[in-house]
Amino acid sequence: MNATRKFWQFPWSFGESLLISAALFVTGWMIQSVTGSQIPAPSFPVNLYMLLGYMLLLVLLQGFGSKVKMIQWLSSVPAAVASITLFGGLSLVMGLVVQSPRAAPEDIFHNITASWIYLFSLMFLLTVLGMTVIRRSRPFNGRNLWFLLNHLGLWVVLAGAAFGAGDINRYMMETRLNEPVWLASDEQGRSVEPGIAIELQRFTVDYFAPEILLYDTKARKPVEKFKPVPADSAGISFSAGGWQVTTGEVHRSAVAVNEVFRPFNGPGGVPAVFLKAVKDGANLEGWINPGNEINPERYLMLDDTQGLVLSFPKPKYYRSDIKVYSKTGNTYRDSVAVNEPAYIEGWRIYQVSYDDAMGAWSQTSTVELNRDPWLPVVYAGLFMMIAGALSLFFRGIRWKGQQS
Amino acid sequence: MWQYYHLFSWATLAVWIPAMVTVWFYEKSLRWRLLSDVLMLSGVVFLSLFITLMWADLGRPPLRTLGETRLWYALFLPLVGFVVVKRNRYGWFASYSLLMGLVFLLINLLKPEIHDKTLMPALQSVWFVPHVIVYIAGYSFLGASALVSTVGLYYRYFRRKSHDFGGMADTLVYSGFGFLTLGLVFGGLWAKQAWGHYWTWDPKETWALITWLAYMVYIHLRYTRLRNQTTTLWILSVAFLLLLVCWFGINYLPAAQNSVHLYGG
Repeated sequence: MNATRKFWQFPWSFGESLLISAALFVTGWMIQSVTGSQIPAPSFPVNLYMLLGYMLLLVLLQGFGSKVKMIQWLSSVPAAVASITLFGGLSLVMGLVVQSPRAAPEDIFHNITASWIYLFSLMFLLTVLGMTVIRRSRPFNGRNLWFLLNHLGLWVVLAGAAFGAGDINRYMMETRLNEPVWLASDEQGRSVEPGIAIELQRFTVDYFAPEILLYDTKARKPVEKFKPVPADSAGISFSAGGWQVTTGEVHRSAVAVNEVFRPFNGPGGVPAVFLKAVKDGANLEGWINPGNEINPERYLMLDDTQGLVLSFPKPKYYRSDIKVYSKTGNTYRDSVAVNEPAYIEGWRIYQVSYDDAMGAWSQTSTVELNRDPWLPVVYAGLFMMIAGALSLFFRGIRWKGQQS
Repeated sequence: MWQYYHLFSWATLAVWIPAMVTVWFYEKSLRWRLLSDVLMLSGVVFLSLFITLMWADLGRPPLRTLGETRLWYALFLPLVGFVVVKRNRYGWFASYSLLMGLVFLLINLLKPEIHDKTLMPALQSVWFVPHVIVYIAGYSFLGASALVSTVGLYYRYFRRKSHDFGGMADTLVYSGFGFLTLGLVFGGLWAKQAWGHYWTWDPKETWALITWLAYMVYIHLRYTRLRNQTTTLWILSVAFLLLLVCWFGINYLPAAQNSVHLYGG
C-alpha cells in the first residue's frame, strides 16, 4: 500500500470499496422507495440470454480492459471484501428480521431477496467473483485449479440460482384416494394445471410409541424434569411425583366402551394406556388417552396439581403410493415419503403432509410438485465447491512449513 | 444410556484434567510427551466408546439434541488440540482445547436434558450424519481459532508483545472453513431432497451463511497480508460470535422461531 495515496486515487483499497458497497445499498433503497417495485424474476429464455450476455460482458471487460484501473479493482481483494460484506450485511438483516415473501415493496427489510438492494449486492458479488475467476484462469496450473474450484464453483451456484429463479415451479397438490387430481396451487395460492395428474393409491404411516408425560395443571405445561416414558408395552414401571407407576394394557388405537378401552383399528381410534400407581399403600388406577372428537381426554391425577397424560404419537415414517398420469397418456407408479421424492416427467414430487386427524386412514395426502431446470447447473457448482473445500484442508497442512 | 453417562464422563475427566497439566511440559522430554498422549487419547477412547454405545442403544445417530452434539464437541476439540500439540508443540493450546472439551462434558453432567428416541421423518436421511459431523468438526476448528484470537488479542493489549499467531489462526480457519463449506453444501443437497429446494433462507441457513461469509472476509483480509493483525484478530473473534448465534443463539432469536432447524433439547 502506498502511503502517499489519496482517497479515490487508484488502486482503490478497503475504504473506497466499502463506500461503493454503501452507495449500492443506498441506490437500491432509493430505486425501491421511488418506484415502489420489486425486482423481476425473468424466466426462460430471457433469463438465459441475460446470463449469456452478462458472461460475455465480464469476459470482454477482463479481456480488453485489464489495463484499466477500475476494472483491475473489480478483481481485487478490497472489492471482494466489500462485496462479501454487503451481501453478509443483508444476510444479517434477514437473520434478524422475520422475512415474508408477501411483504409490500415499501417494506424492504421484511423481504430482502425481492429488493433492489439485494439485486445490486448479488450482482456486485457475482461481478467481482466472475472477474477474479477470469483473471485467475490464466495461467491454468495446479494452484489456480484449486482457486478456481472454490471461486468458480460459488459463482456457478450463485449465477445458476439467481438467473434460474424465474424458472422454478413449486406447486402444492392435495391428492385424494383413488381419484386423479389435475389441479394444484402455486405459492400465491392460485390454481394451476401442472400437466400431470396424481392419484393416491395407498397411504401408510408408522408412529413412534405415544409418550406418558407428567402434566402440571397450575403451570399448564408438562413438568420438564419428568422424562417422558414411551408407552410401548405393558409392565413398564416408572416413578412420577413420588408414585410408583406401572403400565397395564396398552393400545395403539382404541375406543372407550363403557369406560373400558377396546382395540379399534379404524378412524377415530386413539392410543390408550391403563396405569396403576402405588404410594405409601395408597392405590390409583385408570385409563389415560389423548382426546379426539370421539374419545374425550383422560388423565390420572396424582395429587391436586400433577397428573399423568398421554401424548399423541409422533409420526415415524409416512408414505404415499401414487399413480401419475401425464397428458400424453403415460402412467407411472411410484411412492413418495419425506426425504424420498419421486422424479417423473421433469417433476420432483415430494411428500408434504396428510390429514393427521385421520392418521393411517387419511383420505388425502399433500404433495409438492417441483421443477427446477437449472438444478444441474447449481449442482455442478456445488460439486466444484466440495472439491475446492478439500484444497482448504491441504492449505491448513502447509502451515508447519511456514512456522519454521 | 444416559444413566451411564456419568461413568464415562468421570473417567474422561480423570484422564483429561491431568493431561491439561502434562501438556504444558510437552517439549520437556519424551516421557512427558508419551504420558500426555496416553492421557489425551484414553479420554478420546472413553468418549468414543460411550458415543458408539449410545448410537447402538438409541438406534439412531446421537446428533439430534444439543446435549448429544456436546458429546461430539467434547470429543473433537481435544482431538484438534492433540493434532496441534503433535505438530507445533503448543502445550498451552492443547490445554485450552482439553478445557473446552471438559466444559462440554460438565454441562452434560450438570444439566441432564430430556432425551428421547424419536427421530422425525425429515431427519431420517443419509445426509444427517455427514451434515452434522462436518459442522461439528468445523465448529471445533473455528472454536480453536477463536481461542487463538483471544490469546492473540490478550498479547496485543496486555503484554504488548508481538507474537505472531496469524499462521496458527489461518491453519485452523482454513480447515474450519473447509468443513463449513462442506456443511453448507451437504445441507443444500439434503434440503433439496427433504424440502424441495436447496436454499430457503431458513434462519439457520441464513446464519450459517453469515458465519461462512464472516470467515470468508477473514481469509481474504489475511490473503492481502494485512499488516494490522489486530483488525484480523478482532474479525476472527466477531466471526466466532456469529457462529455462536448460528449454533445455539438462534434458539432465542425472535426472527428464528419458525425455523425448521429447531428440534428442541
